[in-house]
Parts: sequence; C-alpha cells; structure tokens
Amino acid sequence: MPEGAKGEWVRFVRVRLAPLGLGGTREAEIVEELAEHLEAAYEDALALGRSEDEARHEALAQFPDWRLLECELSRTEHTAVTRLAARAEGAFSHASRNGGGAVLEQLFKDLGYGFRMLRRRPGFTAVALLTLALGIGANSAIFSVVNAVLLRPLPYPEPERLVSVYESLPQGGTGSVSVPNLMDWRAQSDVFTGIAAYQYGDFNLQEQQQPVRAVGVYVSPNFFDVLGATPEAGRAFLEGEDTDGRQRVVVLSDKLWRRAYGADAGLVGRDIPLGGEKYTVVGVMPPSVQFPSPSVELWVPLVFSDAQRASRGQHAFNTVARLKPGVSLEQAQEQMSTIGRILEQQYPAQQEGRGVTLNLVQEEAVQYVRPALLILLGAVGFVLLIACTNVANLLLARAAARRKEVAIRSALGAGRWRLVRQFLTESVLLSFLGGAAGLVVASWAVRALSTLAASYLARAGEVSLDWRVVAFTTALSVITGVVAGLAPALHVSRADVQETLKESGNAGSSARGTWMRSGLAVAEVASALVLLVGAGLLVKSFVRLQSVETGVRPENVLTMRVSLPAARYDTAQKAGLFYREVLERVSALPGVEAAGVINLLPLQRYGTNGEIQVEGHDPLPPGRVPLTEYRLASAGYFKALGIPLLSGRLFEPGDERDTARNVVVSQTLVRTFFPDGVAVGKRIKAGGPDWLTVVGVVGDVRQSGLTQPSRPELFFPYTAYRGDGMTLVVKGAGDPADLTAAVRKEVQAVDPNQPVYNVRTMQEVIDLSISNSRLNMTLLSIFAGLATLLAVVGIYSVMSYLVTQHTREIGIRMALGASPSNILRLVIGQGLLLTAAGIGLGALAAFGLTRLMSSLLYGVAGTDPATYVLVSALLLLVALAACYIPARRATKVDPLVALRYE
Amino acid sequence: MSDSRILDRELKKGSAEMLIMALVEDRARHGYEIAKLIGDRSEGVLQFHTASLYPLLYRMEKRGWIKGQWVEKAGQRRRRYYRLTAAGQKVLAAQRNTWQEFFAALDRVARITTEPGDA
Repeated sequence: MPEGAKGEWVRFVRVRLAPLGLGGTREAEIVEELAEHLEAAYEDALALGRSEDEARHEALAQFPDWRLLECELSRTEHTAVTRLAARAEGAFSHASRNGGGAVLEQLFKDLGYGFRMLRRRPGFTAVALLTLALGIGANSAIFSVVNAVLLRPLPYPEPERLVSVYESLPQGGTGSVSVPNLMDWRAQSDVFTGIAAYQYGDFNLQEQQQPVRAVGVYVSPNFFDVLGATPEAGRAFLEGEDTDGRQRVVVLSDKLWRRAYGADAGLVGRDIPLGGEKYTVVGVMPPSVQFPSPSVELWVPLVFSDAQRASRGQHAFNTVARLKPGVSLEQAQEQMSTIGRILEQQYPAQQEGRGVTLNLVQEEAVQYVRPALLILLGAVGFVLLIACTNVANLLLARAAARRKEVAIRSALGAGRWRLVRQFLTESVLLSFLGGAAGLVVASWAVRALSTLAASYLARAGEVSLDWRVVAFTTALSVITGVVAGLAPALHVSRADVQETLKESGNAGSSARGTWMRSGLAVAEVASALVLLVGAGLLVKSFVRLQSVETGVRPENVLTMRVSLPAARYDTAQKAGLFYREVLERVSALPGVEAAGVINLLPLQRYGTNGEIQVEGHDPLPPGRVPLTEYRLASAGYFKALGIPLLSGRLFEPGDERDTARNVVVSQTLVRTFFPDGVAVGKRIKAGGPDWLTVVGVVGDVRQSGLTQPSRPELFFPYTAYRGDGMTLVVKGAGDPADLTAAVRKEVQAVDPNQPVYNVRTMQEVIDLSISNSRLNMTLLSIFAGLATLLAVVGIYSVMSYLVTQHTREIGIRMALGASPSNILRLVIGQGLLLTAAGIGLGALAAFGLTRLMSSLLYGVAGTDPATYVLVSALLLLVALAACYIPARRATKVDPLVALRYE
Repeated sequence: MSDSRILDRELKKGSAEMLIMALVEDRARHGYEIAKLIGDRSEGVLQFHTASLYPLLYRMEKRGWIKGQWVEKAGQRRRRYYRLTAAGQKVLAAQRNTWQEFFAALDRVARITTEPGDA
C-alpha cells in the first residue's frame, strides 16, 4: 500500500503502468507526473484535516480506473504497432462475445493484423521469407522430381499390373529372352492377359531433305494391348502384322508426328520411307505413351526370323506383360518359376541355371534412382528443418521484442491460447507467403533440374509442378509455420506479466528463452553437419571416380554414331565396305591422327557378352564361366583411343576377310583365362562353333562405368558380324569438335542417306558416364551450402542476441578490469561451445545416416574420418566468423552505459 | 440511455480540450491544478477522471497545442507545467468560435440561456 512519501506513490504508479511497457524516460516522466498528482491530492486532503488513511483514500479516488488509464495511455503513447495489437485485442473481445461465426471473422482479423505486422517489419519479413522460400522451394523442387519419378503412376491403365518378364541368369541378374522360351511362356502360363516382346532398333528418316535417325522399337502386335495404350489417331497393330509381307506398318509417337510431319492429320494411311523401305503409317500414339523409354519415336512390328524361332540360346528380346486382374506379382512369379524349372529340365543344354524373374515395370523404371532421390529428399528435409529453426529463432527474437504488446493484450484480457493462436496465425501466414515464394523458387529449380537430370532420370521430362507438388508445398507450409511458430508462441505466452515488469527494459531475457535459442542453434549446426558430411562424401567419391583409370586417352577424340539400315546393308560384308570407305576418307582428312570404329564405346550402361572356352581346357559348366564382353572393332579404334597394344598385333586388313578367325583380347581376359599369361597364338571359342585365334592383347578399359571393374573383353574385326550400328572414333590433332562437320561430310559422301548422331567428344562420353554422381554431388553440395549458410545465420543471430542480453554483465566485467580480448574470448568461446555441441550431435547423426547412402559412394566409406574432420573444421571456422561480429560489438560496450542499461 | 451517454461523452471530449487550453492560456499550470480548477469552476459538473486528463494532456502536447515543462520551484517538488503554444492559441480561438456559434444556435432553437437575450 502506498504511503505518504512520494517514493511510495512512484512505486505504486510504476507497478500499475508497467504492463504498458513504455520503458525508458517517457515512462519515468509519466510515473512521476501521476505520482505527483496523487501526492498533491493526498496533501490537500491532509490539509483539509483528513486522517492519513482518509487522505490516502481520497488520493486513490483520483484514479478510480487504472484499466481505463492504461487504455488511454496506450493509445496516446504507443507506436502504431502496439496500437494495432490493442485494436486486434478489441476485435477479439468483440468476436468472442458473438461466438459462432465469429471464429472466421476473428481469423480474418488475425490475418489482417499479421499482414500489417509483417509490413511494418520489412527487414525481418524479408529475411524470414527468403529463408522459407529457399527451404520450402528446395523441398518442392525435389519433391516434384520424386513425384514425377517415384510417385506418379505410369500413364497406362492399372500400371501396377504391368510387369517385365526376364530370364534369370546363372551368374545372377536378369537377361533377355529367346523366342522359343517366350513361346513356351505364352503357351504354359495363365497369369497374364498377354506377354509382348520388343527390341530396340535404329531407323533412318528423311526430315527436311536431311537424313535423321529415329529411335524405334520392334514390338509384337499385342504390345499396345498389353500396355493399354490407345492411339490418338489411326489404330495400333493387328494380329498377324508380325508376319512377312504384312510388317511394313508403323505407329508414330506424337513427338515424331509433330516434328517430322507437322502433325499432319492425313498422314495415317500414307506411306513413309523408313530405313530404305516404305512403311504405312497406321496410327499415332498420344504423348503420354513412351514405352519402353521416353526416347522412343516410332514402333514397327517385330518379326521373328526362322533362326530366332529355332534358337533357344539366342536371348535378344525384352518383354512386358500384363497380369490378369486379381493375380498378384507373387502368384505370377510362382507360376513362371515353375515354368522356368520345367524348361530347364527339358532343355538343359541351353537352360541350365536359367529361371524366370518378374519385375513391376513401375518399380523397374526407378530402382536405380530411388536411393539417390530419397537421400536428396532427406537432405532438403534437413535444409527445411534448419530454415524452420532459423525462422523460429527470428520469431523468438521478435516475440521478445513484442512482449510489450503481449503484456498489453493479456492486460486487456487475452488468454494464453488466444495469444498462441495469434502468434501461430502470424507464423503460418509467414510460411504460406514463404511457400508461395518457394513455389517460384521451385519452378526455376525444376526447370534446371529436368535439364540436368534428363540423361539420368527415366521420367525427367515429366518433372513439373502439378497439383501434388502444390498440395505438398501447402502442407509443408502449414507444418513449417506451426513448427517455427510454436516454440516462440508458447514461450511468449507463458511469460509472466510480473516477470516482464521486473525485467523492465531488458525484455525477453529469461533463462528459458536463452536455452531455447541456444538449443535451436545447436540443432541447426547439427543438421548442417549431417548435410556437409553427406556432400563431403559425395565430393570425395566424385574425385575418386574422376581419378579412376578409364584405360583410354580421351584427349582430342571425337565420337559419333552411325546405324546402317538393314534394308540396304543386309550383310556384314556390305556394312563392312561402308565403314572401310568411311574410315579411309576420314583418316585422310587433315588434322586426323587416327580413326576407327567400335560397336560399343567404353563406359556404356549396356553391353553384349557371352562365355568363352579356351582350347585345351575342359569347358566349365554354363553359368560358372565369367562373362566376356564381345565387341566389334577396327585397329584404328585402339590407336584413336590410345589403348595400348601389350603383345601380338592389332587387326590387319587380312583379318577383315569374312573367313578370317582372328581376335584381339584384353589384359583381363588373359589374366582370367590364361594362367600362364600367354594368350597370343592360342585358340578360343566364343559363342560359335569355330575356333578363334588370339593375335593380340590390349589394355583394359572400363566397359560399363567407372565404378565397375573391367571385364574380360574380346574384339572381333568389325567385318565379322553385321552390328546394329558403329561408333566412329576419331583422334584429332586439335579440338575434336572442329572435325565434326568434316567427318559428317565424309560419311554422307559414302551414303547421302546416312545420318550421324550422338556426336560427342570422348571426354563428354566419360563425363556422361558419371553424370549421376555429378548430379547427386552438385545437388547435395548446394543443399549443404544452403544449410551451412542458414546455420551460420542462426549462430550469428543467437550470439548477437546473447551479447545484447549480457551487455550489463559484460559491462561489469569490463568495469572490474576485463580486457577487450578477454571479452572477445568469452563471447567467441560461448559461440564455439554451441557449435561444438552441434558438431558432436551432427557427427553422431551423420554416422547413422550416411549408412543409407553407401550405394551412392565410391571408394570412400560413410564413416570416412577425413571427411568428418574436414567438414567439422569448416563448420567451426564459419561459426567462428559468425561469432566474431557480435563478439567485437561486445568489446565495444561502454561499462558506464552498460551499468545504466536497466 | 446509451444515446445520451454517447452525446455526453462527445460533448466532454470536444469541450475538454478547450477547457484545458483556456486554463493554461494565461499562465502555465500543472495537471493536478488543471483537474481541480475544472472541477471547482464548473462546481463539480465537469469532472475529469484523471484517467482521461493525463492522456488528453499528452495527446494535446503531441499535437503541439500545449507544451509541458518540468519546473522546480524553491521549496517545492518538481512539477510539470503546461502552457499554451502559439498553435494552441489558434486552435483555442477557433474552438471558442465554434462553441459560441453552437451555443447561439442552441439558444435560437431551444432557448437555453437564462438571461434575456438582446436580440
């Protein structure tokens, strides 16, 4: 209770006005003036002969309504921001009285209030929005890839019923099927509505008088029925169009129809030249039909030759089948396995060790990218977590600054839940705006991603921001808003008004707030470390990959593909003549040092392989022999790519006669099959009945990727078989790209209808083979960089906050003789302590999480200590920099000012 | 009921500013004095809640109509005295004018003055 002394009146008034949180000298003035008023009234009453108690009572009667005074003062004194708060509170009291539909009205008021708050703090709003836009945008972008590649069903009816049927190999894995096996599968199974076979082929078309190559697929007539694809014009294939004489029909993809024929509606029924033959266009498929791959441009009937029908050992065809309704994959697999066993018993010579394997088409398309995508999704999840934490931190700081507002509002009757809701409305509003900005970020990122990932993701072309992505982003925004806003909202609403009053100017400095902010900073550092470790491991893998010995010297080497149409070049001899002439002409070009052909370049995802048998050795049982890669090559190929001749000789013109049986082998083949290391002059069999003589041994190359070891390799002269196509390999004296036009001209001089395609330098071929790793590394590095940046901002803001909060303590220390360097050390020490805690936690988490990414790593373990140490040091270093600025500010604290701070 | 209260409030609100300005027109006064003078001179009819007086003073000060100043007189405590500014003088003159017109109009319509008018 107030006493007569003025000091008591001052205290009395101060306590009553404290909830307004006016602060500073203004508050002191008002308090003094009102106390003076009370004192004067009290003294007047005493002078009139009242007792002290009566006088006090009369003085107090001067202010019968402190709430009213508070209101009036807040209207007069407060800034626009706090007036807004009071207004919003007024709106609330009004709404709560109305009940019912008032909830919505109140929400709108809260939103309006939130908008005004954001507009009034453009700096805060910009930082928070940018953080959220990056966090949410990165997530939406990666999710749109996941959506397109993993989630969105294939565009065929009931895609979950589509399966690929393979022969399983004795060596493990799956392989193509031979025609007799396919026929037996069809005859003996009853789990499919149909099994379609297909095989890739290259076709030459005329486009604007230029020969171009089109990717075509030979398919059995039931192919489109199995897929459930209906043409947008014309028809699909008919039963019987796979017989000789009826097979000159073609179904075009929408893409080719538009590109080459200007979407001519009258094209169906007309003939087009295709690979030197006339084909009748019977139908056009809609853009969604892209089976078996997005690159396919046309489909023609697959006609099995008599040889193919007779040979159970010639495995050349892929299949797609549709499960009958109600038949599960397991049931189908069970039946097909049984059929496989029966065939194995019936035809042990060809089928020993071979079974049947079914895969869901939908699964198959994504099995290689799934781990990488999920890891990237996890990584952006971490980025968002850090973004959330940062925004939570910003909101906490804001909340501390808004305690005045909160105090007024609770003084005006706002309950805790009410305050929490207002804060959450604001943070969700913020994250919604961030989400909208994030969608913009995502739309850019998606465009960049689908270009980057085109070679890598089966369905990269389908990556887009569809409703799922928008829904995902919306959900993410709500969650982000709640997660980021909940801690600050609870924190502030829990604050005791009395507490706020006692703290006077030093708002929001409760120990709990400090703990929460420090905890958030630690979490940020930990998350950033996890991402940095992940990125570091991928970078290290990539560096390892790049230093892998490819076995070739790619400098100044140009490659391009040529596919000869079977109609005109139906024999190995005709094709051989074509290549020989091209090679002669190209070799004669100025600036060309060497030129050769090979049917498959190194570092390709697929190959042709088989088993070999060495003369004098008992043949191993099938399936026990390591597979040997078969290639067709000319001598120039080895010279152009710098593959060393280790012993014997390369091919000579005499080897190119079709009666010659000379082959060149790789070092690994020698090591695998010739224990004494001498192969030249020895004889082997490779798939055929004839003995082949080894005339030379060359160095190894990586046939199927840098991560895959070299396999035994056997080179036939390029004239030995008629391959589907050959790659020209030209070694130039200078920049190989300069040779492109000249080489193309020479090819067309030999055959003007012959297109060349896939024109790449050998370095590009190598880069392409590791583009997945590059993409993973690039993306994860971007995310880790983003995470680090956000975490550093987080540490900076926490340290700035701590310094501001401990100004008084720092002042006292300095007054007691602490030097600026002591203070610097103190502040930086605290910052580093937080960072170290984060790094420790992060390292533990990374230890557990990097195990999940082992499939993406090459030559480095998920627990690679060097990576951990390096990225920890990096993080510590940037954290140090982030602490330095606030620490410097702390050393500038004037002890006198600091002591007067409260 | 509530209608008359609103009118009452509006009247007081409009008049309070003029009353305060009139009181500090000739000499500076502190808040307690202003409150007392209004109560005394209106014989208790016009009574301010202190809750309204000080915020009103601050508002008027912000508008630049009056100016408050801490004054320490010998043997007295420090008090804040308010005086009329030049801007306040103009507002006061205008408000007096308005009120005079208002009263005249009221009188013409409702004959509220107790003394016989000269018109």
